[in-house]
Amino acid sequence: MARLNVNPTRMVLTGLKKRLKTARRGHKLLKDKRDELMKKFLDIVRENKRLREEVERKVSIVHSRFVMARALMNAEVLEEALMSPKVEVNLKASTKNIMSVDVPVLEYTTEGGGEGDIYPYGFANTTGELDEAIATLSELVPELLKLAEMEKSAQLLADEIEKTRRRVNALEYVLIPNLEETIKYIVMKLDENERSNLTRLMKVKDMVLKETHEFHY
Amino acid sequence: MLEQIFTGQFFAYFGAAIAFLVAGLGSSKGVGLAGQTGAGVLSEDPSKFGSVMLLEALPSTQAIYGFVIAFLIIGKINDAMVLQEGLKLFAAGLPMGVVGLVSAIYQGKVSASGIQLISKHPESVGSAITLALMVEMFAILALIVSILMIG
Amino acid sequence: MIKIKQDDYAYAVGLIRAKEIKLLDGDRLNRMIEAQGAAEAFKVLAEAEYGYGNTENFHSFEQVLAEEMKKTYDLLAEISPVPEVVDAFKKKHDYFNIKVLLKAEFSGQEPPQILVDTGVFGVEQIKRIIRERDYSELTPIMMQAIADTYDAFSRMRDPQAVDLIIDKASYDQFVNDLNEFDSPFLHELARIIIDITNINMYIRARSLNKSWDFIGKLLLKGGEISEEFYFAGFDKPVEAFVDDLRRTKYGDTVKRGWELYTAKKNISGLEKLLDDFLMSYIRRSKLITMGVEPFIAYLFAKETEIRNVRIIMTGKINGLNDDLIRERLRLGYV
Repeated sequence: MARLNVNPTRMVLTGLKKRLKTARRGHKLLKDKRDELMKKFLDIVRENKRLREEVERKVSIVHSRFVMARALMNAEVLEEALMSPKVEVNLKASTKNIMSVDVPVLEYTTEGGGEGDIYPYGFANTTGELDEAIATLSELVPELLKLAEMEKSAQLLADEIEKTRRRVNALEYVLIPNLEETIKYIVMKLDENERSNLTRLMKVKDMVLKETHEFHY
Repeated sequence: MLEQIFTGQFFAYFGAAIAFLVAGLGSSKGVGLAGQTGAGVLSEDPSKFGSVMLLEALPSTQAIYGFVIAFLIIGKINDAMVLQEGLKLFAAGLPMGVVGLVSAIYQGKVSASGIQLISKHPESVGSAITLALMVEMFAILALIVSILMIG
Repeated sequence: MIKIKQDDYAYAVGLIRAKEIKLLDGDRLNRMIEAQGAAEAFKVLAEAEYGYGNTENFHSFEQVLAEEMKKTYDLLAEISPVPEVVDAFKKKHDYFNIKVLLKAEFSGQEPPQILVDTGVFGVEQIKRIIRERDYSELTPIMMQAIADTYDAFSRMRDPQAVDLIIDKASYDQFVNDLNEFDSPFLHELARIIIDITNINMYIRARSLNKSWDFIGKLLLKGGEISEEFYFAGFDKPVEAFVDDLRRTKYGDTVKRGWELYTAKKNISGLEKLLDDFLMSYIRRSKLITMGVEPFIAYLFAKETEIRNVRIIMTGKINGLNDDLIRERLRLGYV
């Protein structure tokens, strides 16, 4: 632990003591923040895991359905069927504040396509497997967006936790011990001064007494 | 005037003409049909030429029978023929002609089918020929009847 | 009425019978399914002389299948005594191209590279026709359909409308063309194709809870089962409709398909059974030795075979298990 390079004066000591107090308070606050962030982070991660598993399960269903549709239709016919979409998705991104971290919020609205009317192709030359693939995929879109939102939040929170942890550690293991040591040093130095002063005074007193005595004789 | 044209000789010649002409038409049609199918098969698999040709040739027998009858009838013709005799020879030409026509066409169809059969199962060339020969029987019967009628 | 003389098909049928030996039968399809991986399955196609010999890489199997289809159409066009017969079956590819070009135009994209060259009109030709809006070479039904599509799209901006109108016109054209020939086989073929397409679309649309308004737009004309029949079935649950069908020749097929659908919640079983129904009708032409029947049967045999090959190859490439592939294979001609 390095001592701060300061003049061991009383004024500095007062200043340092004030800094130490602030540092301790800051340390406690940051620790609280870190714990709270951890709690939020764990919540999000847990939710994220669940959602990811869900999405992955559904994506693999969509994939297998598309494979089936693909197997039953010409590449050309399939591509033609999906050439122009019927439903338009508008995405709006905003932010939300969790523990002073700005996490993204995605909102989406669809345009066109009435209730369940999401199939942009005719039925005569397409297979029913395609309907199922499209329907599952369209159910999946909100969940995919939610997942993206959560993964980004988790990432941002993790960054913030890391930063806070570093600050807490810096306070706990560097700044506070340094301050403490410096204070101790100054106190010691001041005490030393005090003592040497006292000794000097006593010595002077002795000398003065001696002089007076000699004067008497 | 008419008596001069419709003589016994005229009818006898007419009978000979029908025997060969009609049976020959039938054979042409039959062989043609089998030949077209055969050409289709050969364009894909030229190695089957032997059996295809055999089956294609089967409907041509009717024309040969027609030719035999026509030959026999012509052999019977002489200058001093009465009308009745001429009509008899005319009638003798009919069975071969008519049966030859119909049997040749149908034999052609059976042959064409037989060619399709051997294109898939080359080993059944025997059955294909047997099936086509069944039709031949009627032509042979007609030939016999015609010969008997000529007497 | 276009005359079809049976005997004119002597050469064509002879050739086709010889070609039929090369169709992939159950054994060879089985070998493909049981092959280790897609590359090995693909070898079976190379043996069967698929496409134009470009059978090196199994990833290009779609191209090989397209080539095989083109080869089949070219062969049939070459040997057909009545060219109109082949054209009647080729026109659906023209309708497909028209559909792609119109959709591209409406959405402002370049026409994608998916146009097919098995139509009556060449790819460049049909591109020019649609671009220049010079429809004089097209059939009246095509012209009407294109006009209707422009009209509908300008009102509703719905890409599905393009498909609905053009598909319907495509089948109208097909029925019209086939009824032009004096062949009961072709008339019945048109009716069966319309009916099985209608039944499939109807059950699909019902299971998606579509309105009658929509279903009315889907249903094709020219089948044995009338639109009124479907309309009468609309108020009832689908089971009742399936039950009503039992008096028609599709009764058993649809009933079995519906049972599969309720058991697995998947319509592909019904689709397969309906396709198989059509194939069992086509299969009757095996017994006919002269005429248009074996000729058309070969086209369907090839189409179904290519479909089966696609199912197997896609399944193999994506690692589907054999049962899943087998379950979807269509009944073949041989």
